[in-house]
Amino acid sequence: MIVISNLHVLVDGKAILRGLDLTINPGEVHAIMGPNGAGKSTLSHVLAGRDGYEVTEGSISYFGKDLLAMEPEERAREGLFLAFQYPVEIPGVANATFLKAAVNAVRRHRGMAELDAMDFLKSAKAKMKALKMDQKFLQRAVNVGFSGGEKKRNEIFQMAMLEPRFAVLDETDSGLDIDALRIVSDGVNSLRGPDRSILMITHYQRLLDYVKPDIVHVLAQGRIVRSGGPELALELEEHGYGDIAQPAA
Amino acid sequence: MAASLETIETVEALNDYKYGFVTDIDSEFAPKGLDEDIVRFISAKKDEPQWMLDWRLKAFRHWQNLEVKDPAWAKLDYQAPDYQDIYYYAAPKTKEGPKSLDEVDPELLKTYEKLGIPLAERAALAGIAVDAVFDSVSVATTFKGKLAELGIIFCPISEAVREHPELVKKYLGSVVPVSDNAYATLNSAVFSDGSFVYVPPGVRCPMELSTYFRINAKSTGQFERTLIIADKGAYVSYLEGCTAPMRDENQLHAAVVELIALDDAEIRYATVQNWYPGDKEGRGGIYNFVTKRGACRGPRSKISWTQVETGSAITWKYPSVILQGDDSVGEFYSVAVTNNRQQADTGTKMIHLGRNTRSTIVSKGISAGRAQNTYRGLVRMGPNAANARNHSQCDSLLIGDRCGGHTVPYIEVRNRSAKVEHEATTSKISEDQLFYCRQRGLSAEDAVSTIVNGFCKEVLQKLPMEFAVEAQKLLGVSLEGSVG
Amino acid sequence: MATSPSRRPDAMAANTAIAQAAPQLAGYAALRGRLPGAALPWLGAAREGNIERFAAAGFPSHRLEAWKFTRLSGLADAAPAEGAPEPSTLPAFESIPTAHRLVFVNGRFRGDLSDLGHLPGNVAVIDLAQALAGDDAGWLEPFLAEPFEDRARSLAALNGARADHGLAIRLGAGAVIDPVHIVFAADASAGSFALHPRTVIVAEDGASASVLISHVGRGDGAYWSNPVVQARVGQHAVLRLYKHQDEGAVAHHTAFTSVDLAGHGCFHAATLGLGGQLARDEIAVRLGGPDAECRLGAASLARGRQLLDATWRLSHDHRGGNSSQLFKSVADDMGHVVFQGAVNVAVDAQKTDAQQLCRHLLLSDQAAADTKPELEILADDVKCSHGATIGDLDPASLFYFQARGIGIDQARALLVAAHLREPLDQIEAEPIRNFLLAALGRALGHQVEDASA
Repeated sequence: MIVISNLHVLVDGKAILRGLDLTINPGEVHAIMGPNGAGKSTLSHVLAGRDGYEVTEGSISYFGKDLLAMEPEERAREGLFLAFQYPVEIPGVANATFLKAAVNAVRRHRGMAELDAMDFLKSAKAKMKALKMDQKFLQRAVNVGFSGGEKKRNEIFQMAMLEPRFAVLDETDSGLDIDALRIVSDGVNSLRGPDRSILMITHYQRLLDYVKPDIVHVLAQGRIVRSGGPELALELEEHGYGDIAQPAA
Repeated sequence: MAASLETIETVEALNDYKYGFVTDIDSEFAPKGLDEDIVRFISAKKDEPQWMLDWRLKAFRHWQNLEVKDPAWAKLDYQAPDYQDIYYYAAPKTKEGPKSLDEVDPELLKTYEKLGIPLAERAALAGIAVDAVFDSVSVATTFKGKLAELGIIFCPISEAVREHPELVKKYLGSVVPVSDNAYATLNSAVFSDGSFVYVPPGVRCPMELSTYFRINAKSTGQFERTLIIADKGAYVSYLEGCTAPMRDENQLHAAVVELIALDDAEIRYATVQNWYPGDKEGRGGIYNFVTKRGACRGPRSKISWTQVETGSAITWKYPSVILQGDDSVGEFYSVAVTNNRQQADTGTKMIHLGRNTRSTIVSKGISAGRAQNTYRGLVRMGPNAANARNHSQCDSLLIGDRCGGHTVPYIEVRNRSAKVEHEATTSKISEDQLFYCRQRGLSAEDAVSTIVNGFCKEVLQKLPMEFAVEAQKLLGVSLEGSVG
Repeated sequence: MATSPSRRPDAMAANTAIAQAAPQLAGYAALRGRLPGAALPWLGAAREGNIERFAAAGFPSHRLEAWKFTRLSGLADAAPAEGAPEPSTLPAFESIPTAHRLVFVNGRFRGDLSDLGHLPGNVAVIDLAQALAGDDAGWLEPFLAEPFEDRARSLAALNGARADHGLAIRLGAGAVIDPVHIVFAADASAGSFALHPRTVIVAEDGASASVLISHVGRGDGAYWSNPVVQARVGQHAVLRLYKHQDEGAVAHHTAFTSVDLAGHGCFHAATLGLGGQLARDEIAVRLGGPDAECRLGAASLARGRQLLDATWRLSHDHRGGNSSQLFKSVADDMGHVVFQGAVNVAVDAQKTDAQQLCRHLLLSDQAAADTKPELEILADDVKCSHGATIGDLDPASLFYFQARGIGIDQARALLVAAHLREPLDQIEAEPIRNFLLAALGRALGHQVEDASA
């Protein structure tokens, strides 16, 4: 269970998150929607432990542990996965090399045997097939020269390989055409399960047509202003954020 | 260090006896300092013919006349060595080394483990008597037999002076003249030993002249001299150095390497240098003042330098190519890593003399801690270098806000049809990349190592496979502690 | 890179240096009492100091790193030390009709040729002699009393002692002037002589100025022009300083320009280098406050036996600085072009963005180009890059022109003009841009259109 309580975050001295509360149970899929500047990406970066975000108040309990006290790599090894809105290019480092290092770092942490090159490739190829990714991506440098859609698919592929307990998808639908969106969504759906929580951060309702959330939240001005079922997303689609985004007095 | 204390004491005692040592050629020691008698002594110890002694003496006289013995132009800040406070000849020091791995500095052992050095070799590297753990002699012998069948000569240069004087006379000093620079002059006067390679016409050396060296290079000492000749149509790949930090008690290393490629010949020369860099505060460490130069004498010849420099307190090194033959090719691929207080001023010179000559320069400099890392290079297109081409790419990566990365290229063009392209960039290691790696579970140090290896890939892939793997690990080890 | 580190201070070289400097010292001694502002104690002391610095260093030797590619021995052996005579004929020069104009001929201010027009309030554009004669010459002290300590800048030190003409421009806070055209003209038919003009420009906070300096020489005399320009740009001020170097065919031109930028200050410069048998144009800019901006451009055309040298040093001393450099050259005949561009980023000058590009074209078999783009970086959070290319015109481009029916000569001419004009196209001040493009066109023997018009 992930419990975010009264989270206040400053970025460059400016209050971006202002008392955010959110509880996600194992197996649940949540969606956070909100207008630009609401603090959506700030939330994903704070969850993953990026520098430059100052938590001034509040806490995040991650399966009983204090998430905010952990280094980014500890969080990753504890099963927190962030699918980046803008996946980073790492020239000269093959996707396979990178991912094998990541998978084995996580496996070591979990007390599992490291995968050797053969086992890793077998597992990777099976998962790439499901995501309709060309296997030559394994030999290409991480995200270098990938199209927008390829980068997003690569994120979901990494997620499949790392088998997280809690996946945060930051604007994963942005920049995807309809075919790519379907492939990425299928990938996410295939990773749904009773032991895995998913938090989708998105501006548009479109992704939610493909990945049905259990609960939808509206984030505005640094806090959750409304929560509801999937119908809330449709309501937003129809009426926009205008009224709803006003924080309840 | 304790190992040579006795040696030093003995030699200091000898100092009192000023004139007596020269005739005593059985002595293992020469006193500190450099004079003509020392040069004669070294030559006599090596049983050299008169012409070799004359050559050394000529160099020594030139050295004597030099008023400035350290170049001021390099971006290096160090106390110039006191050349009269150095031993130019001393007995091998291994006898006083540790007796077992238990006595070896645990930090050193940890590094070997990280690099994946086989256990047997670790002991040898740490200075435990070699033959006890590693039968280098027998390896060398089988090796030499195979080469001899092909007519390839591969032996210590002292042996070549005696056995192949015609080749040594013809080529020694023909690429790096005695008066080239002060360190080369010094080396010419007092060089201790090194390798000699001759590959006859049309012969392709079937093996990398390499693995054997990790152990044996240890005793070649501070004034190494290497001469490699690839005759017409020959090919040789030579790997120098050692991927593990070696116990070394010499502070000054002034080596000279000369390569000669005749018509259609190709020489590949790779170095992985990881001498002791000094401690975090910059105390101790090796001064690595090396002159390496190759001459593409014949048409269509090719010389390629690849270097991974991570060690030494001070590195001063410009492996260069003189492109004399038409259509000849020169390459320089370099990774230089400096951390803590290390300083490196390294690069290359590509001197295009012949028509259609081509050169490529790829330099990756990584600076961390309080280190200073300079790329310094010269590309010269002479008046006859019609249609010559050069492309240079020099990138610097900075890790931490107290280090420096510098780029000083010199480009001189005297032929309109020649074409030179140079690009250089300097930037910080990317926060985005670091965070991305850590979000996937890599530790901060592994993230740095991964990113740096990617940054250097173009150079690392020029190394033979087994060398490349160790070099990759080495980059990570060298940058330990660079992220907080 | 020196192949031989042995640099013996050679006794003979030292004697030569003394012999070369002697006429200059005598020239100064003869002139000392008659220099403008000779009665000002601070100025007299400063001149003495600078002549001593020149005497100690002599003419810069190519052994100095900053002079590695440019040998001044031809000048040093026979450098004129005398001041210029009255011109026998008035050298022809072009001017910008709309500009505030100041003209000097053979080192003399010519009110009859100048036209300052109407100057805005709190702007002074004033002949140096006049400025020094006034009561408030004190503001010039930090400039005119500057000691040029660097041995490589010994010629600036000589100017520091010898400068007898020039001007001062002072813009008060927020003042705007656009454009100013300064003409240093030389009638060299009278023989050989030395000119040491000095220009001081101060733009106080928020001020803005566009200034063009022309150096024009006519006649066959081997005169020597050794100008120094010093500028200080205040916070949020903008100085656009352009240069038109069209000295006489056998003249020497050795210029030194130093600029100091305050926080958010902005300096744009572009130079068209055409004249002289040897011309050295050294520019040193210090980004002395946060978020300063500097943009340098130059186009050099070296023909005959000309040597044109541009040496730039940008020092990013504070965070947030932004600089770009663009150098274009063409060397034809036995022409020789030198470009040295150094970018220095100090410790703590984080967030610096410094870009540099130099492209040399060699159009003949005897032409030569030397270049040394240099980065010295001591801060880590920076984006710095440089690129350099040297070579002939791109055959693919030439072929493309030919395929469209354009003859090879015309194609070459068009490509050469396109190559050289790029730094001039970046000039914001339209009258100056047009003026320099026209000058380039005349030099190339055909018209160069203003692409942005």
